Amino acid sequence: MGALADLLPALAVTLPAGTTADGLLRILARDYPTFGAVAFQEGKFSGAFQVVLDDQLLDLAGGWERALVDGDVVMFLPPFAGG
Amino acid sequence: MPHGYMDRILRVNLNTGTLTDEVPGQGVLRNWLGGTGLGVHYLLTEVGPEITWDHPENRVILAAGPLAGTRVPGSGVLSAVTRGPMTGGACSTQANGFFGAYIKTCGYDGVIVQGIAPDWVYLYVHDGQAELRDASHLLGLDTWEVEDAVKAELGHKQISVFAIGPAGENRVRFAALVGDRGHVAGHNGIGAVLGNKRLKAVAVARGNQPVTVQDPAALAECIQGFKDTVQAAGQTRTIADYGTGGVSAGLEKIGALPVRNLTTNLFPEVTKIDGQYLRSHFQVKPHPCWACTLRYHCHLITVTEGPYAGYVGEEPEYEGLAATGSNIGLAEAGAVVMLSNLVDRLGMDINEAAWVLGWAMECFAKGIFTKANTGGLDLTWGNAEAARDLLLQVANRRGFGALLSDGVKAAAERTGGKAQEIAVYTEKGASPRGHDHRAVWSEMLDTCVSSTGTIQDTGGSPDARQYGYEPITNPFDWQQVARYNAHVSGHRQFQDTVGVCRFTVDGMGLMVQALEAATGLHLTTEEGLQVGKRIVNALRVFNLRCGITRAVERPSFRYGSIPVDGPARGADIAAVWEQMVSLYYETMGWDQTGRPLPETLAGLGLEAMIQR
Repeated sequence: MGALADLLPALAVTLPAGTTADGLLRILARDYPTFGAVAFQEGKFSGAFQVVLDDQLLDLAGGWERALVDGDVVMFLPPFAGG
Repeated sequence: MPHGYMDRILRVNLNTGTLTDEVPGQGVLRNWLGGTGLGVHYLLTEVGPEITWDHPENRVILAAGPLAGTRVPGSGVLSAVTRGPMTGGACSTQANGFFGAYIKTCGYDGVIVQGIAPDWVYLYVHDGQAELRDASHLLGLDTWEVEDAVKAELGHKQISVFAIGPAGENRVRFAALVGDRGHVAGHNGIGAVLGNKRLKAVAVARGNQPVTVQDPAALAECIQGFKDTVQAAGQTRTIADYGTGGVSAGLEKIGALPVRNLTTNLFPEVTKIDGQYLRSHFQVKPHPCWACTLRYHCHLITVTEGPYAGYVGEEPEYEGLAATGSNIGLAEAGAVVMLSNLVDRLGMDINEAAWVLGWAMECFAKGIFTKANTGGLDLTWGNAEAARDLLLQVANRRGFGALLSDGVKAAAERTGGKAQEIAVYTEKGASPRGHDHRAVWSEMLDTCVSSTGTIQDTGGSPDARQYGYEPITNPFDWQQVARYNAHVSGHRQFQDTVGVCRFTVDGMGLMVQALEAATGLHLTTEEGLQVGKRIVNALRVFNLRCGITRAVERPSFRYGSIPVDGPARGADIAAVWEQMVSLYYETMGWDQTGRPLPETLAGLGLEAMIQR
């Protein structure tokens, strides 16, 4: 997955109940500042990668305000384009 | 004349066999810079709307950029411009390799081809000279065989040979121009135009004329900057390690891998045919382009397992793997390598080949075609041997394959009924790239509104922030998509104009610095983008003159359908299509018919194109 994998390891996290996808991103940005620098620009999501929640793109699965539940798998995927 | 230019164009009149040198002049070069820009200039000034793609007076312009022949990474790009048969409008298509660099060392910035030769010929350019040579002995050879034969005949090792294969000879409408062992100018039927002209190949020997630059030290700094930029980019590292095929599994995870003609988005077998698999199972050998800093991008490959063990070819790019792998339900890596190479060797566009094969196989699965229609071909999903036989038929306009030789849109229209609903194409006739754009709205919009015959603004998501605009944060937000595409419009055209590979050179700031270091021509970042926008708008005016209207700037029913499964399931681009196109036009400075407004053209120095 290229440079993104260098910034954020695969990990399991325990979150407060009701944490949203946006909340998760902000927690990860806090704990992994180099990842946070990629993820946010002026406090807003930078668009530097796509987010898949379980097996659906986040924007089609409730968006950033979607509350996460136990067992959810979140993937951050860099932009891909083949030649 | 600025450094970086040879200030000489070779004009080849095939009607008479006459070859003449011309001086483009500083005004032309200042406005259009070179490469694609130069091609567009000659297309606009010499090809009127009455000149169809197969008219003798149609032009093919093969041009290098001002950075070609320097040590700027990937600056051997060939840019080909003509009026093409797939859309009936402009064609702008590029290939990497060595052509762009070598033509400069022969003392030319480009070649203009016109007329139709009475007998088949090939063009040989060397040491400031050029000649047309008999090509009758090359007929029927595939693109690799032509390269070998021409090199042997000319006795020159450092030579770039771009040729058409049997498909181009037979004027297959999606025929391509292929050279330097696997590099393809593939779009909008450039190979059919050359076949119509009876020009089998263009061979350019590395010459002795130096390509001087204005400020070598400054250019060296830019080159280091390009290296640092690509080193930092995640995808570029993936490409270096695994080729562009390294992105295949990632594309499946975001629903952008085309699978079985867009009937599904699930293809877990992708890891059996992706770049990681090829590099870890087969023998590969680096095969870099001119001055490439991504030494491990392009490779030659030997299949070492399975039914095609021993097959030697070019390691397929991602789009080849998608075209002859996932899109036809094939997960045997050796077979995918063989089929992808066959498309190149026959001289066809891999993108259109994907939709042709996928459509034929889906028609077979649905009973629209049976063995009685296909001449006995068993077009079951994933049948590699049947796919090979079909490709050979298509390239030679024989048997059932002849139905497909004009592309999938024409084949579907001729077949009618349900077959039309399941074909993937743009109504304009341009071929979508090897992605499922229902998950990448930015590229679907671009593919449909582009005037080049393929994408013109996107591909790898140029960074909008370098121009002061917002990036896309939600790929399914039609307003973000429309504005983004318009805001970055011109970026890719600038790259194609200075003549560089987008995998090795990116960032407008660095590109204009490199242009100045090489030529002395100073452009700001905004002016660089304006050059690209000038090309986009000029091509649009050309296409409008050809009768291409908003009515055809949309996807076919299947191409714009809602994914039924996978990560992008439920995404409905058709529901917002008209609004998205309208906003794109508005942001581009065009009216709602897609015609550039007078003030837009005037602002780009295109006053002469304003319709009185």
